[in-house]
Amino acid sequence: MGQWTIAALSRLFISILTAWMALSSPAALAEVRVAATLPVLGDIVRQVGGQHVVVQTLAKGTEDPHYVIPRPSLIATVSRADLFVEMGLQLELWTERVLESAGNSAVNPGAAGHVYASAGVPVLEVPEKLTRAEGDIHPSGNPHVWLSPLNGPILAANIAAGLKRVDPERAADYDRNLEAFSGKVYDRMFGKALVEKFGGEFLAGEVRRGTFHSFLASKKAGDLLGGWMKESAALRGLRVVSYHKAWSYLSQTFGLDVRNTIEEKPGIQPSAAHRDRLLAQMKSEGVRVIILAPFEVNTISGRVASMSGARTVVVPANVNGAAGAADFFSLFDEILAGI
Amino acid sequence: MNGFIRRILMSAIVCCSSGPVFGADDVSREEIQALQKRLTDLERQASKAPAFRGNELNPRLTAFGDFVGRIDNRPVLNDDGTRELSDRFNLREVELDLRADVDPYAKGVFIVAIGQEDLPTQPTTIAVEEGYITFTRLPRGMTAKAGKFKTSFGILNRLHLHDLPQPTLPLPIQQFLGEEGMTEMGVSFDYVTPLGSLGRALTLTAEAFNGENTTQFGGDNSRDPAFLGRGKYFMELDDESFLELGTSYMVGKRVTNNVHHTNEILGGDFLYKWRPPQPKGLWSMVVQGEYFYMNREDPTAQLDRRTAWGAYGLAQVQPYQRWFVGGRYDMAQVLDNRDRVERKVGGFISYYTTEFLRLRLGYEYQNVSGPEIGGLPGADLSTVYAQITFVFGSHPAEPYWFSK
Repeated sequence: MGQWTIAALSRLFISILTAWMALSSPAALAEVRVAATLPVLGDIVRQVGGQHVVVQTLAKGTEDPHYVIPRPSLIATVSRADLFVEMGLQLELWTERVLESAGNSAVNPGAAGHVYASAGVPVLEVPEKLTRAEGDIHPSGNPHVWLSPLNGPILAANIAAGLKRVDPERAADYDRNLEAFSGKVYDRMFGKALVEKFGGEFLAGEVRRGTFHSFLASKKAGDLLGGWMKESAALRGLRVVSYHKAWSYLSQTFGLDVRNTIEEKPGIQPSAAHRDRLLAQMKSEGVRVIILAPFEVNTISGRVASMSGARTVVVPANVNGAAGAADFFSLFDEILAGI
Repeated sequence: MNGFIRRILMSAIVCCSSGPVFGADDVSREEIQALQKRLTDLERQASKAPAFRGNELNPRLTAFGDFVGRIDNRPVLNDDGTRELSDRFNLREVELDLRADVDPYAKGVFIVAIGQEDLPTQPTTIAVEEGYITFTRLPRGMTAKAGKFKTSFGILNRLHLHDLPQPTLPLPIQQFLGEEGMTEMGVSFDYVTPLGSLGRALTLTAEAFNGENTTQFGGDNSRDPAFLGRGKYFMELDDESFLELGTSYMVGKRVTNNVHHTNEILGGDFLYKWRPPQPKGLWSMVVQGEYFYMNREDPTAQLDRRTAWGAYGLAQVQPYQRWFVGGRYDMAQVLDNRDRVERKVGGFISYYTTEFLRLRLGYEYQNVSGPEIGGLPGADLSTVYAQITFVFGSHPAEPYWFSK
């Protein structure tokens, strides 16, 4: 009786172990459960993952991504995820607590199921001196990288790499979707004709180096220009003020001239002296536009707007940050139309 | 260095590109695209930070300072009666927080508190406030820690002094868990699971620790373990608010005349938080409360209570981005005097210059050991607090229950 029981238990244990190993192997995933910190990342995961992924986004589109409350509902979501996608560059400091409490080693930093989407993006404004006297600085550089369409393919490539790690059987699908997404980004950015002639990645490099327009002129290819770069021609050199230093990548891409920020330093409310200097600068330089994300509409920005007489433009800073910003592409439609 | 590498690469590529690549239209697109890819790869490599600077393996270090000045209407002494605390400044606590990965399977945390609520001529006290290891390779949703930690009874007991929304701990926590809350040595398991739709979660906690808490259990020489269980239901009410309901139960032993008697504490708590993405008159609001009930199985108790209860309620609003205003009401039956009850009411206003520096002004009125029903009130204590709390170093993210 005892031997029979032991044998039965052994078989049961081996069956459970086998079933568990089969279910936990990446190839057996019916759908990849992805937890993405920001709506823009969630949207790119959907576009690259297609029907193979189920995505849950932790932050809301109208929320300041720096200050998301690491609630138990977020922790529970991450505890069941196969892949965790965050922007990185110390933008989402709250993810540390979420990951620690979720108890899901498969998605911790360094594991196959963890993605820093910003890896490899040419980062702007890396501080030379790390001190809190400079405000809430990000040691690795400005983390608002998703606010240039040119970084979309890099974010997508990192996400595709993560999906392939946890679900290698569908690697071909992810590669195909990545190529389609990147191609669409470049087409929407420069127009199909220009991309066909020079290639999207090369044109993106020219933009980042600040030589895009001189290159176009030298090649007499201005007539081929289309997409957002053509639509946003009026924004080149437009002098604006923003609340936070969030639009550096957008201004690098489209030539906006962000003269100053309402914040005295990153994360630091303006003193009266800073406000007065800002108002004087806006007046002397003819700055007539203040760009705000929805969560930056408050009494401080309202006061600066009323005292300067500048026009306030509220644009989404993330997917779902406004009614029309439903995905990565409409996000930039909304931003450029708004400004 | 990166800029230097980038300049060299750019120069080399520009030299190449100025010749055959872009100067001639008959060059194949494949060659152009190969060079584009090479250029992008080199740019990415050049933008990477150095892999190792020498101190990456050191623990992350954060320092917290808690400096308090107070004015009282009568003398107040510290816990052991050796130093007067009233009407003076006091560097109440300095806390050093060290944390790092131990290996691929665990993380370590040490929080060392340096206090000076003692005679100036005596050495400053240094204590390991918390020191534990957390295991990271457990089944999904489960975390475990072992060491010395703040027990998971209720909400505010888990917070350190400098994280509290007011300058002091609520009276029922001091009465039922200890003057500075309950920190014990043992093991703790947490399990979190989503419930149904997105936005609902259940957290279950089980803890076993030494029953050395002098308030409830056997004190330093106790050999009886104590056990704690906690359940917490969390639900997002809408895009702007959430509600958390929790209950805690703790049991251990007290020893009287070599007889081990059961001591139980039951708790209930709630936390409501509203924070819209854009301010709507107010920036945020927090309402929370905790209830404590104790049951002692001690037939020899004469003056002490066999049962006791206490509760507090806290409300806080954020009228401006950096300003927080609130109030708290405490009530707790005194455990070692069955005729007495303590009440406290207080208010506070906090200003954060940044998340690293907080200035706070608080007022508390406490009726110390007043009679429970009728009779003359006991001695009153009125205290005005001015508090500066600051943090520097590698500041971890704030916990979600933190009132800010």
